[in-house]
Amino acid sequence: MRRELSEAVEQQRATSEILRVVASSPTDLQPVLNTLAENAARVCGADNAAIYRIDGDRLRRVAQYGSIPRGRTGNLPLLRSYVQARAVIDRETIHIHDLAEVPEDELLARGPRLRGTRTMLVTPLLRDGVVIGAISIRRLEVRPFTDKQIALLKTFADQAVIAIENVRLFQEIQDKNKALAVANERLEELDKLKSDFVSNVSHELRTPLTAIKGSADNMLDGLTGPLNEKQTRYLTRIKANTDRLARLINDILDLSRIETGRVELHLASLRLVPLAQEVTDHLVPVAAAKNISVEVAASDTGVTAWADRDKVTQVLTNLIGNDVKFTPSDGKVTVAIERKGEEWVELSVADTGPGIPREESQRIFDKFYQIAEGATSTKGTGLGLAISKGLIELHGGQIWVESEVDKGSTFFFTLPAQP
Amino acid sequence: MALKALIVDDEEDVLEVLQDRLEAYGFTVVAARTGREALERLSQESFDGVFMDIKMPEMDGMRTLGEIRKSGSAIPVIIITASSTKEAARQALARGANEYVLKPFEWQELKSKIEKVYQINLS
Repeated sequence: MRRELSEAVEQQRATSEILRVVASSPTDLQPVLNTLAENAARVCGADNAAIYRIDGDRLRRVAQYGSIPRGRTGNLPLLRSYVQARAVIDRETIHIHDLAEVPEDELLARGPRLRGTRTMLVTPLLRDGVVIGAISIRRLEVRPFTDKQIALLKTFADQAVIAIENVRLFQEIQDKNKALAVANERLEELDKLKSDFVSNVSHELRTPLTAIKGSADNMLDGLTGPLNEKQTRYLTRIKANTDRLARLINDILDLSRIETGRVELHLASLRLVPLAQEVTDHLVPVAAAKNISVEVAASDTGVTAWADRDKVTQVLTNLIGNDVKFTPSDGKVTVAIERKGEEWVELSVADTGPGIPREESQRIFDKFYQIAEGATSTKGTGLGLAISKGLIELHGGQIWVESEVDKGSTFFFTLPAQP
Repeated sequence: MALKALIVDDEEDVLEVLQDRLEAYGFTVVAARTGREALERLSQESFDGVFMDIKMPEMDGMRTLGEIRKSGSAIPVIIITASSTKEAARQALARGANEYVLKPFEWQELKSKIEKVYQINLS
Protein backbone atom coordinates (compact mmCIF):
# COMPACT_ATOMS: atom_id res chain seq x y z
CA MET A 1 0.00 0.00 0.00
CA ARG A 2 2.74 2.38 1.03
CA ARG A 3 4.85 1.35 -1.95
CA GLU A 4 1.94 1.96 -4.28
CA LEU A 5 1.39 5.36 -2.78
CA SER A 6 5.01 6.36 -3.18
CA GLU A 7 4.97 5.08 -6.76
CA ALA A 8 1.92 7.18 -7.47
CA VAL A 9 3.61 10.22 -5.96
CA GLU A 10 6.72 9.52 -8.04
CA GLN A 11 4.64 9.29 -11.24
CA GLN A 12 2.83 12.47 -10.39
CA ARG A 13 6.14 14.22 -9.84
CA ALA A 14 7.52 12.92 -13.15
CA THR A 15 4.46 14.05 -15.10
CA SER A 16 4.50 17.52 -13.60
CA GLU A 17 8.23 17.88 -14.27
CA ILE A 18 7.74 16.87 -17.90
CA LEU A 19 4.84 19.30 -18.28
CA ARG A 20 6.95 22.06 -16.77
CA VAL A 21 9.75 21.42 -19.27
CA VAL A 22 7.29 21.20 -22.16
CA ALA A 23 5.79 24.54 -21.14
CA SER A 24 9.15 26.25 -20.74
CA SER A 25 10.59 25.17 -24.10
CA PRO A 26 7.97 25.28 -26.82
CA THR A 27 10.57 25.37 -29.60
CA ASP A 28 13.37 23.25 -28.19
CA LEU A 29 12.63 19.55 -28.08
CA GLN A 30 15.90 18.39 -26.53
CA PRO A 31 15.26 19.36 -22.88
CA VAL A 32 11.84 17.71 -23.07
CA LEU A 33 13.25 14.44 -24.43
CA ASN A 34 16.10 14.48 -21.86
CA THR A 35 13.60 14.92 -19.04
CA LEU A 36 11.41 12.16 -20.47
CA ALA A 37 14.34 9.73 -20.66
CA GLU A 38 15.44 10.54 -17.13
CA ASN A 39 11.96 10.12 -15.67
CA ALA A 40 11.25 6.96 -17.64
CA ALA A 41 14.39 5.36 -16.20
CA ARG A 42 13.74 6.55 -12.69
CA VAL A 43 10.02 5.90 -12.42
CA CYS A 44 10.28 2.46 -14.05
CA GLY A 45 13.31 1.53 -11.96
CA ALA A 46 15.63 1.01 -14.97
CA ASP A 47 19.37 1.53 -15.21
CA ASN A 48 19.05 3.25 -18.52
CA ALA A 49 16.58 4.85 -20.91
CA ALA A 50 16.87 6.02 -24.50
CA ILE A 51 14.55 7.69 -27.03
CA TYR A 52 14.92 7.08 -30.77
CA ARG A 53 13.44 8.77 -33.80
CA ILE A 54 13.13 7.55 -37.35
CA ASP A 55 15.58 9.37 -39.57
CA GLY A 56 15.34 8.12 -43.14
CA ASP A 57 16.17 4.39 -43.11
CA ARG A 58 17.75 4.56 -39.68
CA LEU A 59 16.76 4.96 -36.08
CA ARG A 60 18.59 7.85 -34.45
CA ARG A 61 19.05 8.08 -30.69
CA VAL A 62 17.90 11.56 -29.66
CA ALA A 63 18.02 11.35 -25.85
CA GLN A 64 19.37 9.04 -23.20
CA TYR A 65 19.76 8.72 -19.46
CA GLY A 66 21.56 6.32 -17.20
CA SER A 67 24.72 4.55 -16.19
CA ILE A 68 25.19 2.11 -19.07
CA PRO A 69 27.79 3.33 -21.55
CA ARG A 70 26.40 3.79 -25.05
CA GLY A 71 27.68 3.35 -28.59
CA ARG A 72 29.12 6.46 -30.15
CA THR A 73 26.77 7.20 -33.00
CA GLY A 74 23.46 6.14 -31.54
CA ASN A 75 22.36 5.16 -35.04
CA LEU A 76 20.68 1.84 -35.83
CA PRO A 77 19.57 0.50 -39.19
CA LEU A 78 15.82 -0.09 -39.42
CA LEU A 79 16.19 -3.87 -39.50
CA ARG A 80 14.26 -6.46 -37.51
CA SER A 81 17.45 -7.91 -36.07
CA TYR A 82 17.79 -4.80 -33.88
CA VAL A 83 15.39 -4.85 -30.96
CA GLN A 84 14.52 -1.12 -31.04
CA ALA A 85 14.03 -1.28 -34.81
CA ARG A 86 11.84 -4.37 -34.45
CA ALA A 87 9.53 -2.52 -32.04
CA VAL A 88 9.28 0.27 -34.62
CA ILE A 89 8.71 -2.05 -37.59
CA ASP A 90 6.14 -4.20 -35.75
CA ARG A 91 4.64 -1.19 -33.98
CA GLU A 92 4.53 -3.30 -30.84
CA THR A 93 6.06 -3.22 -27.40
CA ILE A 94 8.86 -5.76 -26.96
CA HIS A 95 9.68 -7.01 -23.54
CA ILE A 96 12.80 -9.20 -23.22
CA HIS A 97 13.06 -10.76 -19.81
CA ASP A 98 16.64 -11.93 -20.25
CA LEU A 99 18.64 -10.99 -23.31
CA ALA A 100 21.21 -13.69 -22.52
CA GLU A 101 18.57 -16.32 -23.25
CA VAL A 102 17.69 -14.91 -26.70
CA PRO A 103 19.95 -16.39 -29.40
CA GLU A 104 21.96 -13.91 -31.46
CA ASP A 105 20.65 -15.25 -34.75
CA GLU A 106 17.15 -14.35 -33.58
CA LEU A 107 17.99 -10.91 -32.20
CA LEU A 108 21.31 -9.19 -32.76
CA ALA A 109 21.16 -6.52 -30.02
CA ARG A 110 24.96 -6.42 -30.08
CA GLY A 111 25.28 -3.14 -28.21
CA PRO A 112 22.99 -4.01 -25.31
CA ARG A 113 24.58 -7.46 -25.02
CA LEU A 114 28.09 -5.97 -25.00
CA ARG A 115 27.16 -3.57 -22.24
CA GLY A 116 25.59 -6.19 -20.03
CA THR A 117 21.90 -5.49 -20.59
CA ARG A 118 19.71 -8.34 -19.34
CA THR A 119 16.14 -7.08 -19.18
CA MET A 120 14.90 -4.73 -21.84
CA LEU A 121 11.61 -3.02 -22.67
CA VAL A 122 11.02 -1.14 -25.94
CA THR A 123 7.81 0.60 -26.93
CA PRO A 124 7.15 2.43 -30.22
CA LEU A 125 6.26 6.13 -30.45
CA LEU A 126 2.98 6.28 -32.32
CA ARG A 127 1.32 9.39 -33.67
CA ASP A 128 -2.19 8.66 -34.95
CA GLY A 129 -1.06 5.11 -35.69
CA VAL A 130 2.07 6.27 -37.54
CA VAL A 131 5.31 5.20 -35.92
CA ILE A 132 7.88 7.96 -35.46
CA GLY A 133 10.40 6.35 -33.08
CA ALA A 134 10.80 4.29 -29.91
CA ILE A 135 11.63 4.55 -26.24
CA SER A 136 13.61 1.82 -24.49
CA ILE A 137 14.55 1.09 -20.86
CA ARG A 138 17.05 -1.54 -19.65
CA ARG A 139 18.27 -3.26 -16.59
CA LEU A 140 21.66 -4.81 -15.96
CA GLU A 141 20.03 -7.55 -13.92
CA VAL A 142 17.34 -10.05 -14.85
CA ARG A 143 14.24 -8.46 -13.43
CA PRO A 144 11.26 -8.22 -15.81
CA PHE A 145 9.22 -5.03 -15.81
CA THR A 146 5.80 -5.14 -14.17
CA ASP A 147 2.61 -4.55 -16.13
CA LYS A 148 2.36 -1.22 -14.40
CA GLN A 149 5.87 -0.26 -15.52
CA ILE A 150 5.05 -1.34 -19.07
CA ALA A 151 1.92 0.86 -18.98
CA LEU A 152 4.02 3.71 -17.58
CA LEU A 153 6.54 3.41 -20.38
CA LYS A 154 3.67 3.67 -22.88
CA THR A 155 2.57 6.84 -21.14
CA PHE A 156 6.09 8.25 -21.48
CA ALA A 157 5.99 7.26 -25.15
CA ASP A 158 2.73 9.18 -25.59
CA GLN A 159 4.23 12.20 -23.89
CA ALA A 160 7.27 12.05 -26.16
CA VAL A 161 4.96 11.94 -29.20
CA ILE A 162 3.00 14.94 -27.94
CA ALA A 163 6.21 16.88 -27.29
CA ILE A 164 7.61 16.04 -30.72
CA GLU A 165 4.31 16.93 -32.37
CA ASN A 166 4.08 20.22 -30.47
CA VAL A 167 7.47 21.31 -31.62
CA ARG A 168 6.75 20.16 -35.17
CA LEU A 169 3.52 22.19 -35.24
CA PHE A 170 5.26 25.16 -33.69
CA GLN A 171 7.97 25.00 -36.33
CA GLU A 172 5.38 24.57 -39.05
CA ILE A 173 3.65 27.73 -37.88
CA GLN A 174 6.97 29.52 -37.75
CA ASP A 175 7.86 28.31 -41.24
CA LYS A 176 4.49 29.43 -42.52
CA ASN A 177 4.91 32.79 -40.85
CA LYS A 178 8.30 33.11 -42.47
CA ALA A 179 6.86 32.19 -45.86
CA LEU A 180 4.10 34.74 -45.32
CA ALA A 181 6.62 37.41 -44.41
CA VAL A 182 8.60 36.63 -47.56
CA ALA A 183 5.44 36.75 -49.68
CA ASN A 184 4.49 40.02 -48.04
CA GLU A 185 7.87 41.52 -48.75
CA ARG A 186 7.57 40.45 -52.37
CA LEU A 187 4.15 42.07 -52.61
CA GLU A 188 5.52 45.26 -51.16
CA GLU A 189 8.31 45.18 -53.72
CA LEU A 190 5.77 44.69 -56.50
CA ASP A 191 3.73 47.56 -55.15
CA LYS A 192 6.78 49.76 -55.19
CA LEU A 193 7.65 48.67 -58.72
CA LYS A 194 4.13 49.50 -59.84
CA SER A 195 4.25 52.85 -58.13
CA ASP A 196 7.70 53.64 -59.57
CA PHE A 197 6.44 52.61 -62.99
CA VAL A 198 3.44 54.93 -62.78
CA SER A 199 5.71 57.69 -61.55
CA ASN A 200 8.14 57.20 -64.45
CA VAL A 201 5.42 56.94 -67.04
CA SER A 202 3.80 60.08 -65.77
CA HIS A 203 7.15 61.89 -66.02
CA GLU A 204 7.62 60.69 -69.57
CA LEU A 205 4.10 61.80 -70.50
CA ARG A 206 4.43 65.25 -69.02
CA THR A 207 7.39 66.26 -71.14
CA PRO A 208 5.68 65.90 -74.54
CA LEU A 209 2.51 67.41 -73.05
CA THR A 210 4.51 70.45 -72.03
CA ALA A 211 5.76 70.85 -75.59
CA ILE A 212 2.26 70.45 -77.08
CA LYS A 213 0.58 72.71 -74.57
CA GLY A 214 3.38 75.30 -74.75
CA SER A 215 3.17 75.37 -78.54
CA ALA A 216 -0.62 75.74 -78.59
CA ASP A 217 -0.47 78.43 -75.89
CA ASN A 218 2.19 80.39 -77.75
CA MET A 219 0.15 80.32 -80.94
CA LEU A 220 -3.09 81.22 -79.17
CA ASP A 221 -1.35 84.11 -77.45
CA GLY A 222 -0.26 85.44 -80.82
CA LEU A 223 3.45 84.77 -80.44
CA THR A 224 3.59 83.23 -83.91
CA GLY A 225 1.39 85.72 -85.69
CA PRO A 226 -2.33 86.21 -86.25
CA LEU A 227 -4.70 83.21 -86.37
CA ASN A 228 -7.97 82.76 -88.18
CA GLU A 229 -11.09 81.61 -86.38
CA LYS A 230 -10.76 77.93 -87.25
CA GLN A 231 -7.08 77.84 -86.25
CA THR A 232 -8.01 79.41 -82.94
CA ARG A 233 -10.74 76.83 -82.41
CA TYR A 234 -8.40 73.94 -83.25
CA LEU A 235 -5.66 75.22 -81.00
CA THR A 236 -8.12 75.81 -78.17
CA ARG A 237 -9.19 72.21 -78.57
CA ILE A 238 -5.54 71.03 -78.44
CA LYS A 239 -4.99 73.06 -75.31
CA ALA A 240 -8.14 71.81 -73.58
CA ASN A 241 -7.29 68.21 -74.36
CA THR A 242 -3.69 68.47 -73.18
CA ASP A 243 -5.05 69.97 -69.96
CA ARG A 244 -7.37 67.01 -69.66
CA LEU A 245 -4.51 64.58 -70.22
CA ALA A 246 -2.42 66.39 -67.64
CA ARG A 247 -5.25 66.08 -65.11
CA LEU A 248 -5.59 62.40 -65.91
CA ILE A 249 -1.87 61.84 -65.35
CA ASN A 250 -2.03 63.67 -62.02
CA ASP A 251 -5.06 61.65 -60.96
CA ILE A 252 -3.50 58.32 -61.93
CA LEU A 253 -0.37 59.25 -60.01
CA ASP A 254 -2.42 60.29 -56.97
CA LEU A 255 -4.47 57.11 -57.05
CA SER A 256 -1.38 54.96 -57.45
CA ARG A 257 0.18 56.65 -54.42
CA ILE A 258 -2.98 56.12 -52.38
CA GLU A 259 -3.24 52.48 -53.41
CA THR A 260 0.38 51.74 -52.57
CA GLY A 261 0.18 53.54 -49.25
CA ARG A 262 2.65 56.21 -50.26
CA VAL A 263 0.57 59.19 -49.28
CA GLU A 264 1.79 60.92 -46.17
CA LEU A 265 -0.74 62.93 -44.25
CA HIS A 266 0.45 66.15 -42.68
CA LEU A 267 -2.13 66.38 -39.94
CA ALA A 268 -2.83 69.66 -38.22
CA SER A 269 -5.81 71.50 -36.86
CA LEU A 270 -7.81 72.73 -39.81
CA ARG A 271 -10.64 75.28 -39.68
CA LEU A 272 -13.11 74.02 -42.22
CA VAL A 273 -15.37 77.00 -42.91
CA PRO A 274 -12.60 79.33 -44.18
CA LEU A 275 -11.14 76.41 -46.16
CA ALA A 276 -14.49 75.63 -47.82
CA GLN A 277 -14.90 79.35 -48.55
CA GLU A 278 -11.46 79.43 -50.17
CA VAL A 279 -12.26 76.42 -52.37
CA THR A 280 -15.65 77.81 -53.44
CA ASP A 281 -14.07 81.19 -54.22
CA HIS A 282 -11.79 79.46 -56.72
CA LEU A 283 -14.76 77.78 -58.39
CA VAL A 284 -16.97 80.87 -58.52
CA PRO A 285 -15.88 81.86 -62.09
CA VAL A 286 -16.89 78.44 -63.44
CA ALA A 287 -20.14 78.44 -61.45
CA ALA A 288 -20.98 82.02 -62.41
CA ALA A 289 -20.68 81.11 -66.09
CA LYS A 290 -23.61 78.71 -65.56
CA ASN A 291 -25.37 81.03 -63.14
CA ILE A 292 -24.98 78.54 -60.33
CA SER A 293 -24.78 79.89 -56.81
CA VAL A 294 -22.25 78.32 -54.46
CA GLU A 295 -22.75 78.77 -50.72
CA VAL A 296 -21.02 77.68 -47.57
CA ALA A 297 -23.44 77.11 -44.72
CA ALA A 298 -22.32 76.51 -41.16
CA SER A 299 -23.94 77.46 -37.88
CA ASP A 300 -20.56 77.31 -36.16
CA THR A 301 -17.74 78.92 -38.15
CA GLY A 302 -15.15 77.54 -35.75
CA VAL A 303 -15.56 73.85 -36.67
CA THR A 304 -12.06 72.40 -36.69
CA ALA A 305 -10.83 69.08 -38.04
CA TRP A 306 -7.56 67.24 -37.44
CA ALA A 307 -6.59 66.72 -41.07
CA ASP A 308 -4.22 67.37 -43.95
CA ARG A 309 -5.05 70.73 -45.47
CA ASP A 310 -3.90 69.93 -49.04
CA LYS A 311 -5.78 66.65 -49.12
CA VAL A 312 -9.03 68.09 -47.77
CA THR A 313 -8.71 70.94 -50.27
CA GLN A 314 -8.32 68.35 -53.03
CA VAL A 315 -11.44 66.46 -51.91
CA LEU A 316 -13.55 69.61 -51.56
CA THR A 317 -12.35 70.94 -54.92
CA ASN A 318 -13.27 67.64 -56.49
CA LEU A 319 -16.73 67.38 -54.90
CA ILE A 320 -17.73 71.01 -55.39
CA GLY A 321 -16.19 71.02 -58.87
CA ASN A 322 -18.20 67.90 -59.78
CA ASP A 323 -21.40 69.47 -58.51
CA VAL A 324 -20.83 72.66 -60.45
CA LYS A 325 -20.13 70.55 -63.50
CA PHE A 326 -23.20 68.33 -63.22
CA THR A 327 -25.72 70.91 -62.02
CA PRO A 328 -27.70 72.57 -64.80
CA SER A 329 -27.73 76.34 -65.20
CA ASP A 330 -29.41 78.44 -62.52
CA GLY A 331 -28.85 75.70 -59.93
CA LYS A 332 -27.40 75.81 -56.48
CA VAL A 333 -24.51 74.13 -54.69
CA THR A 334 -24.39 74.23 -50.90
CA VAL A 335 -21.46 73.22 -48.74
CA ALA A 336 -22.46 72.48 -45.15
CA ILE A 337 -20.15 71.86 -42.24
CA GLU A 338 -21.09 70.62 -38.81
CA ARG A 339 -19.68 68.90 -35.80
CA LYS A 340 -20.83 65.31 -35.22
CA GLY A 341 -20.40 64.45 -31.59
CA GLU A 342 -17.04 64.58 -29.87
CA GLU A 343 -14.97 62.80 -32.46
CA TRP A 344 -16.12 63.74 -35.94
CA VAL A 345 -16.95 66.61 -38.22
CA GLU A 346 -19.20 66.14 -41.21
CA LEU A 347 -18.99 68.02 -44.48
CA SER A 348 -21.61 67.82 -47.18
CA VAL A 349 -21.83 69.17 -50.68
CA ALA A 350 -25.40 69.34 -52.02
CA ASP A 351 -26.46 70.20 -55.55
CA THR A 352 -29.67 70.63 -57.51
CA GLY A 353 -28.35 68.45 -60.31
CA PRO A 354 -29.77 65.40 -62.05
CA GLY A 355 -29.19 63.07 -59.09
CA ILE A 356 -27.69 59.61 -59.05
CA PRO A 357 -29.76 56.42 -59.36
CA ARG A 358 -29.62 54.36 -56.18
CA GLU A 359 -27.91 51.39 -57.84
CA GLU A 360 -25.04 53.63 -58.92
CA SER A 361 -24.48 55.43 -55.66
CA GLN A 362 -21.89 52.90 -54.48
CA ARG A 363 -20.15 52.40 -57.78
CA ILE A 364 -19.48 56.05 -58.45
CA PHE A 365 -16.55 55.79 -56.04
CA ASP A 366 -14.97 53.13 -58.27
CA LYS A 367 -12.06 53.96 -60.55
CA PHE A 368 -13.06 55.18 -64.01
CA TYR A 369 -16.74 54.83 -63.20
CA GLN A 370 -18.91 57.46 -64.82
CA ILE A 371 -22.63 57.72 -64.62
CA ALA A 372 -24.09 56.70 -67.93
CA GLU A 373 -26.58 59.48 -68.28
CA GLY A 374 -25.70 63.14 -68.42
CA ALA A 375 -22.02 62.44 -68.08
CA THR A 376 -21.29 62.35 -71.78
CA SER A 377 -20.82 66.07 -72.17
CA THR A 378 -18.64 66.49 -69.10
CA LYS A 379 -15.04 65.47 -69.36
CA GLY A 380 -13.71 64.24 -66.06
CA THR A 381 -11.00 61.68 -65.50
CA GLY A 382 -13.32 59.27 -63.73
CA LEU A 383 -10.83 59.11 -60.88
CA GLY A 384 -11.81 62.09 -58.74
CA LEU A 385 -14.22 60.25 -56.47
CA ALA A 386 -11.92 57.22 -56.12
CA ILE A 387 -9.13 59.58 -55.06
CA SER A 388 -11.44 61.46 -52.69
CA LYS A 389 -12.55 58.19 -51.12
CA GLY A 390 -8.93 57.10 -50.70
CA LEU A 391 -7.93 60.39 -49.09
CA ILE A 392 -10.89 60.49 -46.71
CA GLU A 393 -10.36 56.87 -45.68
CA LEU A 394 -6.68 57.61 -45.04
CA HIS A 395 -7.92 60.12 -42.48
CA GLY A 396 -10.11 57.42 -40.95
CA GLY A 397 -13.26 59.11 -42.24
CA GLN A 398 -16.07 57.94 -44.48
CA ILE A 399 -17.51 59.24 -47.72
CA TRP A 400 -20.91 58.53 -49.22
CA VAL A 401 -23.65 59.99 -51.33
CA GLU A 402 -27.38 60.41 -50.82
CA SER A 403 -29.35 61.25 -53.87
CA GLU A 404 -32.75 61.48 -55.47
CA VAL A 405 -33.05 61.39 -59.23
CA ASP A 406 -34.08 64.76 -60.71
CA LYS A 407 -33.81 66.46 -57.32
CA GLY A 408 -30.09 66.45 -56.63
CA SER A 409 -27.29 64.71 -54.79
CA THR A 410 -25.53 65.32 -51.52
CA PHE A 411 -22.03 64.01 -50.97
CA PHE A 412 -21.05 63.57 -47.35
CA PHE A 413 -17.70 62.94 -45.77
CA THR A 414 -16.42 62.81 -42.23
CA LEU A 415 -13.07 63.79 -40.75
CA PRO A 416 -11.70 63.42 -37.24
CA ALA A 417 -12.48 66.47 -35.13
CA GLN A 418 -9.59 68.27 -33.54
CA PRO A 419 -8.96 66.48 -30.27
CA MET B 1 17.75 96.90 -70.84
CA ALA B 2 16.49 93.41 -71.53
CA LEU B 3 17.11 90.69 -69.00
CA LYS B 4 19.26 87.86 -70.31
CA ALA B 5 18.13 84.31 -69.52
CA LEU B 6 19.83 80.95 -69.91
CA ILE B 7 17.34 78.16 -70.52
CA VAL B 8 18.49 74.59 -69.92
CA ASP B 9 16.50 71.59 -71.13
CA ASP B 10 17.38 68.44 -73.07
CA GLU B 11 14.04 68.58 -74.89
CA GLU B 12 14.40 70.67 -78.05
CA ASP B 13 10.60 71.06 -78.33
CA VAL B 14 10.31 72.46 -74.84
CA LEU B 15 13.32 74.75 -75.36
CA GLU B 16 11.74 76.43 -78.34
CA VAL B 17 8.35 77.19 -76.78
CA LEU B 18 10.08 78.42 -73.64
CA GLN B 19 12.47 80.58 -75.63
CA ASP B 20 9.62 82.14 -77.66
CA ARG B 21 7.65 82.82 -74.52
CA LEU B 22 10.53 84.38 -72.59
CA GLU B 23 11.40 86.51 -75.59
CA ALA B 24 7.78 87.66 -75.68
CA TYR B 25 8.27 88.70 -72.04
CA GLY B 26 11.25 90.77 -73.20
CA PHE B 27 14.10 88.46 -72.25
CA THR B 28 17.15 87.85 -74.37
CA VAL B 29 17.45 84.07 -74.41
CA VAL B 30 20.35 81.65 -74.75
CA ALA B 31 19.61 77.90 -74.79
CA ALA B 32 21.72 75.04 -73.41
CA ARG B 33 20.92 71.33 -73.75
CA THR B 34 22.87 69.88 -70.81
CA GLY B 35 23.99 70.98 -67.39
CA ARG B 36 27.59 70.95 -68.52
CA GLU B 37 26.83 73.23 -71.45
CA ALA B 38 24.96 75.54 -69.09
CA LEU B 39 27.96 75.81 -66.76
CA GLU B 40 30.22 76.59 -69.73
CA ARG B 41 27.89 79.34 -70.89
CA LEU B 42 27.65 80.78 -67.42
CA SER B 43 31.43 80.93 -67.15
CA GLN B 44 31.71 82.73 -70.49
CA GLU B 45 28.99 85.38 -70.34
CA SER B 46 26.86 87.02 -67.72
CA PHE B 47 23.16 86.20 -67.34
CA ASP B 48 20.29 87.55 -65.25
CA GLY B 49 18.63 84.19 -64.67
CA VAL B 50 18.61 80.45 -65.31
CA PHE B 51 15.47 78.45 -66.24
CA MET B 52 16.42 74.81 -65.84
CA ASP B 53 15.00 71.29 -66.10
CA ILE B 54 16.05 68.67 -63.53
CA LYS B 55 16.12 65.38 -65.42
CA MET B 56 18.79 65.72 -68.09
CA PRO B 57 21.48 63.39 -69.39
CA GLU B 58 25.16 63.90 -68.58
CA MET B 59 24.71 66.41 -65.78
CA ASP B 60 21.27 66.86 -64.25
CA GLY B 61 19.70 70.07 -63.00
CA MET B 62 20.35 69.29 -59.34
CA ARG B 63 24.09 68.92 -59.84
CA THR B 64 24.22 71.91 -62.14
CA LEU B 65 22.40 73.99 -59.53
CA GLY B 66 24.88 72.77 -56.92
CA GLU B 67 27.82 73.80 -59.12
CA ILE B 68 26.31 77.23 -59.76
CA ARG B 69 25.87 77.88 -56.05
CA LYS B 70 29.27 76.40 -55.22
CA SER B 71 30.86 78.96 -57.52
CA GLY B 72 29.41 81.66 -55.29
CA SER B 73 26.90 82.87 -57.87
CA ALA B 74 23.58 84.18 -56.58
CA ILE B 75 21.98 84.26 -60.03
CA PRO B 76 18.21 83.58 -59.88
CA VAL B 77 17.45 79.96 -60.79
CA ILE B 78 13.91 78.85 -61.67
CA ILE B 79 13.43 75.11 -61.94
CA ILE B 80 11.03 73.90 -64.63
CA THR B 81 10.62 70.18 -64.13
CA ALA B 82 8.32 67.38 -65.19
CA SER B 83 9.23 65.63 -62.02
CA SER B 84 6.14 63.77 -60.98
CA THR B 85 6.66 64.39 -57.32
CA LYS B 86 6.99 67.83 -55.88
CA GLU B 87 9.79 66.41 -53.77
CA ALA B 88 12.52 66.96 -56.36
CA ALA B 89 11.39 70.53 -56.87
CA ARG B 90 11.36 71.13 -53.11
CA GLN B 91 14.84 69.65 -52.87
CA ALA B 92 15.93 72.09 -55.54
CA LEU B 93 14.64 74.96 -53.40
CA ALA B 94 16.64 73.60 -50.49
CA ARG B 95 19.72 73.57 -52.70
CA GLY B 96 19.33 77.21 -53.62
CA ALA B 97 16.80 77.42 -56.44
CA ASN B 98 14.61 80.53 -56.22
CA GLU B 99 11.37 79.10 -57.60
CA TYR B 100 9.94 76.10 -59.39
CA VAL B 101 7.11 75.26 -61.77
CA LEU B 102 5.95 71.75 -62.61
CA LYS B 103 5.45 70.69 -66.22
CA PRO B 104 3.02 71.01 -67.82
CA PHE B 105 2.26 74.50 -66.55
CA GLU B 106 0.23 77.56 -67.40
CA TRP B 107 2.32 80.45 -68.66
CA GLN B 108 0.54 82.56 -66.09
CA GLU B 109 2.20 80.47 -63.41
CA LEU B 110 5.69 80.96 -64.83
CA LYS B 111 4.97 84.62 -65.37
CA SER B 112 4.02 85.22 -61.76
CA LYS B 113 7.14 83.36 -60.57
CA ILE B 114 9.32 85.56 -62.79
CA GLU B 115 7.59 88.69 -61.53
CA LYS B 116 8.19 87.53 -57.97
CA VAL B 117 11.87 86.72 -58.51
CA TYR B 118 12.69 89.92 -60.40
CA GLN B 119 10.21 92.16 -58.60
CA ILE B 120 8.92 93.37 -61.95
CA ASN B 121 5.65 93.51 -63.83
CA LEU B 122 5.59 91.75 -67.17
CA SER B 123 3.14 93.05 -69.73
